[in-house]
Order: sequence, then structure tokens, then C-alpha cells
Amino acid sequence: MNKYFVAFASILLSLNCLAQNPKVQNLMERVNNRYVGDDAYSQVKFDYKSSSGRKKEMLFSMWNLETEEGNKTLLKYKEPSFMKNSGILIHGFDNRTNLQWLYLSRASKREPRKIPNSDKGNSLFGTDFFYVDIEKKSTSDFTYSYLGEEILNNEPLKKIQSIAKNKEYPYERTISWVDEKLNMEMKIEFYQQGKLSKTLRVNKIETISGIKTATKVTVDNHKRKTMTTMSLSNVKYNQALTSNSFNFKALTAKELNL
Amino acid sequence: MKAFTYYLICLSSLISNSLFASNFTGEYLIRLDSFPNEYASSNNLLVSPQSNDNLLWHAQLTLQNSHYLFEDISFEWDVEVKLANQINSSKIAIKKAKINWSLNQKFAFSLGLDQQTWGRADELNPTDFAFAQDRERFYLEEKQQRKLSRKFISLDYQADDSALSLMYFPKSQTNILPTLDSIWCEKFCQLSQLEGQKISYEAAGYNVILAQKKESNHEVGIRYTDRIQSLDIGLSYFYGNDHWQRISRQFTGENEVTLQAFSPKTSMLGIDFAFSVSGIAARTEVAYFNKVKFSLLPSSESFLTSPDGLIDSKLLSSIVSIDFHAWDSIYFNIQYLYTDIKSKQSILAPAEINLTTLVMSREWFEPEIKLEMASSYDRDNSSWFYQLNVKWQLNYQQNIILGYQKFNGDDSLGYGNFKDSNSINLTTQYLF
Repeated sequence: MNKYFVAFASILLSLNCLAQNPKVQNLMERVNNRYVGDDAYSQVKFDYKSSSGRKKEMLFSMWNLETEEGNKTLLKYKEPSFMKNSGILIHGFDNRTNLQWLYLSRASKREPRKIPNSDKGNSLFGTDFFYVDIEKKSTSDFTYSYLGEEILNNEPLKKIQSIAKNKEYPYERTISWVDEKLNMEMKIEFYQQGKLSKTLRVNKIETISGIKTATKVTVDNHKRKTMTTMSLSNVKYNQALTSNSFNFKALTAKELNL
Repeated sequence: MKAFTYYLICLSSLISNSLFASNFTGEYLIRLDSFPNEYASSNNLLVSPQSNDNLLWHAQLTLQNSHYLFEDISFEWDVEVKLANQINSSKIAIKKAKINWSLNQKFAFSLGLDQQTWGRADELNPTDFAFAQDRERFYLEEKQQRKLSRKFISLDYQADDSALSLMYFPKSQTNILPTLDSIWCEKFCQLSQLEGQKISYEAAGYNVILAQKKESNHEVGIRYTDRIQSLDIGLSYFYGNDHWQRISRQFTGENEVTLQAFSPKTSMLGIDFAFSVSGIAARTEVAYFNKVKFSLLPSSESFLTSPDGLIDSKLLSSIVSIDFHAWDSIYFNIQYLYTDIKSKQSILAPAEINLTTLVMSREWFEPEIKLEMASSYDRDNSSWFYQLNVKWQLNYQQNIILGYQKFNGDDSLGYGNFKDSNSINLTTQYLF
């Protein structure tokens, strides 16, 4: 029995070494470092559908900025009106823990509230997206393995498995279908507790200011049996945003014109 | 004063206009509280509750809006209509009615009525002293609903991550205590309220004289917040009259007693900060209170009116609050409050509190169901309470909460005072 186990383990190890080849690492670095503008503005619409078919709609303004030390995101409610001006500010860092603040315009404490990083695996405003899903990831935080090629929508895509080195990462592993030509992930499966918990699909890609942009993305939550579609509109790249725009002033502002 | 009244009338007309002219947001809340236990009479009561009604109902409608009057001038308002079978039966309160004048995106001048909560911790905020409280509402309810609004003038400076607010309050404010016929009066009115004192002395055959004391009304508050790397920091200062009134008593004749209510001058200096380490967010607040010496009627005694006992010449109050998520759907919040009370005058105050809140969210059914548990212990675990809420999130805007509160401990200490007040409540809330 032990003999077979050792043989099986050595096969697995050699496969792992093959899978960890520099090409896979290189491909994921290309995906992660794909140019998505120095900064971007978009109107984001979340359409959430519950397991019984009930729907809710939320509209946000979203600003993104790529900086040398990481990325910054500001997401502010536009609709429904009772949540207007509430929002979330994320400062993502390549080399240290990200910082997140939540601002609720209707709360009596009208100051940004620091939220714990254990919230990363929590639902973003009640949708099927998690906070972590809107953060930019660093390839050095993951171990990649190549699982083969698969045809999806008539396109041959590379199937890559990613396992986070940090145990606090909310997903055990993810499997991505990567379009080598576009350097984009077209489908991602998210696994939690050994089960497939969510599937993300890119439904629509548009070229805006020369940048390939996923303007419609759907997440199926298999655990909750819910679905969220995120649609981007009015996308504008390179608006000369600066780091100074991603601060508490912007998060708490009533009218924001960055 | 007349100018301010005129200003309020103008604001009211603007409110009525904006009700019809623009979209407004708000919420309605209906709450039923049932008390299974009959009230046991307490030996040290000065005032007996007038009602033995074991069911309280309370309905509340809040409407709010903000809009621009001119390019740089905006107007915000918030009106609350309350109906209840006890607790002042019904009233309409303007909680917020203020004009903000923004100057070059950095400075803002505001004038009007506002309602604010200071501090960074979740439930218990030692630095939250600038705005008084409405204790007619049971003190476990949402903090925001317990704050009173007040007239103010402020100058605010907002830079990138820092903000400075200088506030001036033209009139001092006192906390509202339960009315004599409310169910909570039995607990809160034991040593408090001039009216209660008056009734009790009159009942004992005394001629009661109510003395007036002239006090300076001017109050100021300063709040500065900033972010230094990953540390969020806040500094607070308040100088004014204590919101908890004292009552002095002087026997001025054989069958005559003179009562006088007054609020000692108080200053509060506070610091608060928040930071996150790995998966945990920690919030801390420290407040130092200093009460200026006050003069009483000659040969008189004074009484506290504060159920918190936050009345002494010097006092340090601090809190540490930690919150984090675990196991996918459980949210923990742990708070530890320590108040260094020098004097033993505090009868009802829990000086040291552990508050643990556990929120478990599980989608057992399609509308989300949350299980919320909170427990709190005061010094030496001599008195405690816990509450259990089942929150049914019907949809995005509406929820129903079924709650149970249980108190225990020594009759004269902290939560033990409420031990006959174990309650079951049903609340529904709708946001629009």
C-alpha cells in the first residue's frame, strides 16, 4: 500500500513541477498586468436575483487608480436614493494588508468606518461579488498550475488553477479560463470548503479607448442559488485621477466630481 | 432668539416645499414591547409608575432630504413623527434642519439643528458627549434614535483625509428622562427629576419652592479626525454644561423645602483611534471628564440624575472595541468599557462593562435570517443582561426583528435594576 502511495505521490509531485512551469506564471502575470488604463471611471449597475426570482438593482459610480504601491478603488452609491452617497474606499497594497473603509450616509456617525479585512470574503453590498473580487491581486500571492486547454464559446482557452498562499484568502482555490490573446480571464470558478461556490462569466467585452473592457459580468452563486450581473457603462479611462482623490473627503462627499 | 425662531419657520416652509418638490428618503419603524413580568414594587422608590401596562407600542416615521438651494448652499432636514401608547404618547420632532454653505470645497459653514454621534466604537462611546440623549427610549435601542438634536453653528474644514469641526451651541441641553407615567420611570426616576422630588415632598406635606439658577448656556465642541498611514485617529473636546442635571435640596423652613436643578460645567477631552491588524478591526476611545466646581444653595444636599453615574469631579472612561468576521457568516464584536469612578455616588452605573455581540447570518430560507446575540456584564459580573434577536430580512428594504432581553443581578446595581423588565419585542423597519 505504502509503495503505491509513494509512487502516486511522486507522480503528483512531478506533475505539479510541470504545472508550475514559467509559462503559466508568465501568462498569469500578463493577465494581472494587462493595461487597464492608469485610472478609470465607470457607472456600475448590479442586478441581483434571489433564489426565488426576486430582483434588486443598485447603481454605483466607481473610480479606480493604479499606483506603484497598489490600486485604489472608490465605489459610491447612486441608487437606491436612501443609500445615496454611501460608499466604500479600498486602498490595495502589493506588499501589505489592504485597507477598507465604509461610509454610510444615513448613519449617525458620519465618519468613515474602518472594516476588518476578514470582511474580504463577505458580500459586497448584498450582491454575489465579494469585497475581494474587486481588489487587484498580485501573482506572487498565488501558486498556479496548468490544467489544460478547453474550448469555450469557440475559443481555445487555458485552464489555470490558482491557490492563494495566504490562508486568510476567502477561496480555497479558483480555476480560470484564460484567453491568451486578450490576456483576460473569461470564466472563473471559485471553490470554498471543497465545493464550487461561485462561477463568474464574462458576457460582454467592448473596446473602450483602445482597452478591452469586460462590460458585463455575471456571477452565479451556487451556494445561495442567487445571481448577480454587473454591467459597466459610461467607462472613461485616463481621467488624470491622482492618489489624492481616493481619500476620506471623496468617500464622504455629497457631490463628487473627480 | 426671535431670529432663530424666524429662521426655523423659514426652514419649516422650505421643508414643506421640498416634500412636494423633491424625492425624499426615510423609514418607518413599528415596535411592540411586551413585559411578561408584573412590576414588583421597590422599597426605595420615590415615584411609583402610574401605569401597569405591560405592552408598549411605538411607531415612528422619519423623513429626510437634502438639496441645493444655490450652487454652494445646501439644506438638509430630517423630521421624525412618533406615536406611542406611553412615553409622551406622540410628538413630531425636527431632528435636523440645517443650512450648509460650502466655501472652496474645503471649508463649510453650517447653521441650524443637528443630531450627531461622536466616537469610533460601536455601541458605547465615552467621547460622545456633545449631543444629549433621549432616555425616554429604552437605552438598548439603536443609538442614533436616542440622540437629541440641538441648535448649533459650525465651521468645518475638510482636507484629504483630515477633518476639523468647530461647533458652537448657543443653548445648553439636558438629557430627557422618562416621564413619570412611563414604564421606565420606575427605574430611571428613583433619584431623579425635579418633578418627582416635588411630588414626593408634597406628598409628605412639605411646601415646595422651586429655585431658579442662572447658568451660562454657551457650549463649544471641537472634533478633529485624521488618517496617519493605517491608523484612523480622532480628537474631541467639549466644554459646556453636563447634560445630566443635578438637583439640590435645602430645608428652608420647618415644613418647607427648596429644590433647584442645575448642571455643573464640564469639560471633556477625548481621543479615539481605529486600526486593522490581519483580519481584525480594533477601535479605542478614551475620554477624560473634568467638572468645574459648582456652588449649591447654602447647607444643601445634591442628588444625581444620571443613570450612568457620569457625574463626579474627575473621571476617566475608556473603551476597546474589536470586531471581525469568522467562519463565513459570523460577525463578532467585543467591547470592554472601563470607567474610573472616584466616587461611590454612582448607584446605577456599571463602571466596567464587557459587551459581546455575536451576529450570525445564515440564509436558511430565501429571505435572510440573522441571529444576533449580545451580552453584557458589569464589574465583578454582579449584574448582566443578554439579548437575542432574530432578524428576518424580507427584502432589501424591509426587516422584521423578534427580540428578547433578559436582565439579572443585584437590584441596586447596573442591569440588575432592570431585572423585572425582561421583555420580548417585535420590530418592523422599512427604508425608502
